[in-house]
Amino acid sequence: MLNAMRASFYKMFRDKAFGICLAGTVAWALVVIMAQVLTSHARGIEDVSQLANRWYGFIGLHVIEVPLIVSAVLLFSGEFQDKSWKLLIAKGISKTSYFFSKLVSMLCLTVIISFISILTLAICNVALLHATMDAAYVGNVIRFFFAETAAHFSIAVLVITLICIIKRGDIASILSLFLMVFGYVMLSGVEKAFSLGEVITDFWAFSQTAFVEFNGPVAWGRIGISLLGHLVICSLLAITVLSRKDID
Amino acid sequence: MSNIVKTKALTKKYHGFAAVDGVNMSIEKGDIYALIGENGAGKSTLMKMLSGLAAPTSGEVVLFENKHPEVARFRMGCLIDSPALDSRLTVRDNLEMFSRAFGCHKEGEVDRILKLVGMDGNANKVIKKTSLGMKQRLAIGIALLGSPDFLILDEPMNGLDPMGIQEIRQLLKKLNAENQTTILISSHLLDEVSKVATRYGFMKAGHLISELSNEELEEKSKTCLRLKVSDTAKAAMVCEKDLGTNNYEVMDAEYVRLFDYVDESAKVVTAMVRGGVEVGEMVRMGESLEEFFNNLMTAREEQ
Repeated sequence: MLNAMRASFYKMFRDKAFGICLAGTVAWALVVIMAQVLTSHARGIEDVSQLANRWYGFIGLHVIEVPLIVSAVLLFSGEFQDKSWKLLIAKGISKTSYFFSKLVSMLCLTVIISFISILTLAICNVALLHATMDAAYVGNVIRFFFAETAAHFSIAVLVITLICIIKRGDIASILSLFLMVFGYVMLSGVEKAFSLGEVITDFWAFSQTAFVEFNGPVAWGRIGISLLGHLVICSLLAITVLSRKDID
Repeated sequence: MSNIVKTKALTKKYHGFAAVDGVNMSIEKGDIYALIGENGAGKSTLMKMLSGLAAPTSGEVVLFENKHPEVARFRMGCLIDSPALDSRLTVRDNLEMFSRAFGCHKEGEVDRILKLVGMDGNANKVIKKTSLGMKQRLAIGIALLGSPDFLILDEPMNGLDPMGIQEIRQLLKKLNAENQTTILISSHLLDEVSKVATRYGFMKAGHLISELSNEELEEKSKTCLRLKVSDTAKAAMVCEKDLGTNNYEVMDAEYVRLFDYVDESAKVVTAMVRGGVEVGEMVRMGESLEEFFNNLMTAREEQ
């Protein structure tokens, strides 16, 4: 598995698409923050500095999820489409090891995307929204980075599992975006139909960011359980599907 | 260890259809084993099972005398179907990536492979912009990473120009001679394969119908005179007593093959006539691998 991971990282950092993904992440964060600024007047906010610490507004616009999904598809689905992964299997790397190497790569990508995104937002907050750059602000940004990254790990696990199972980047990306937008509603419907309360939606991957506040408490326990649950379920699913099928 | 591959009743079925059916195959260390068959004979499916890309429906695969083939696969290099390359990376980057994945990354390894397959001048080309022949060379190079003991090459000559085919052929012979690398190769270019192979396996409709060494194949397809005679028993006596040879074969009630006197057909006819044997037809024959293969496939169909 270590060898597969080394290869995965080598490829990720050599691929031109990686640079495009990082640039896209910065661009998307800028779009999100500009959207906030430009619509402030229509929302009755005269002083834009009021938006400075409304990070839920940025996160709610999927400032990390969209670049994460697009980057994952660009960087990882190609191996299935060009079938280069079969050479690793033919060399004795098990499908389980292969999946876990992709999972680790995906988690690293999550850290990178989250860092770039939050850094862009933090700088724009100071430059455009006149946030005060003091020790408290920096401390909050750092804490927020760790919390949001952890919250997005579950999403990362789900996305890489979809890529490994579907093996088509275009379909995996559409399905991921669909789940991002409609997943909560669908699961909420299931909960209501079976009177389950909020036992599913509370731990749904795309819900975890709601439990992170910029200068407030973080529900680490809930985020941790969600991540563990997604890891177990998605890993079992991916390994079962990968193991049962021959490689053409 | 002399046995690299041994299969026992190896079978692969897709929705009840047997793509490979009960194949018992053995490849010894140092063999260059050519797997020959028509399209759809099951060659690629067999190779996929040996390389772990397809799970057998039944039967057994033993690699390097190890009943757990997944453990032994790190000693193999494979090229199955079309080249499987990352199209956004360069030639060099593909080799670097796979050398890391295979755990054989070391200083100079990539440069060695680039030179070996004649791609050192194209190392920085992006795969998207390379020709099929270049991709094929690179795919062979990837199979050679880490100097494997056993190579599985499915149609490695595809897309190569005549010079490239010659280079790859010489490379395979060199690897076999110097490193005792065992090679399993399939190809439609029978003439090319016959220049490297030491053993042949013929497949049809999922069955391995014949396995021959180079010597055995030469014996079966060697040059001869085929005579259509009125009495094969008398013709046999003429061969032994008058022509002084027992290097002949009675094929059936009408035909005899004579492997001596191939360039002395007049002498043969004269001897036959003197011995009271009427010769209705005489043809000089010498089967190339292609002719042997075609006759074998036809005979199998008639069975």
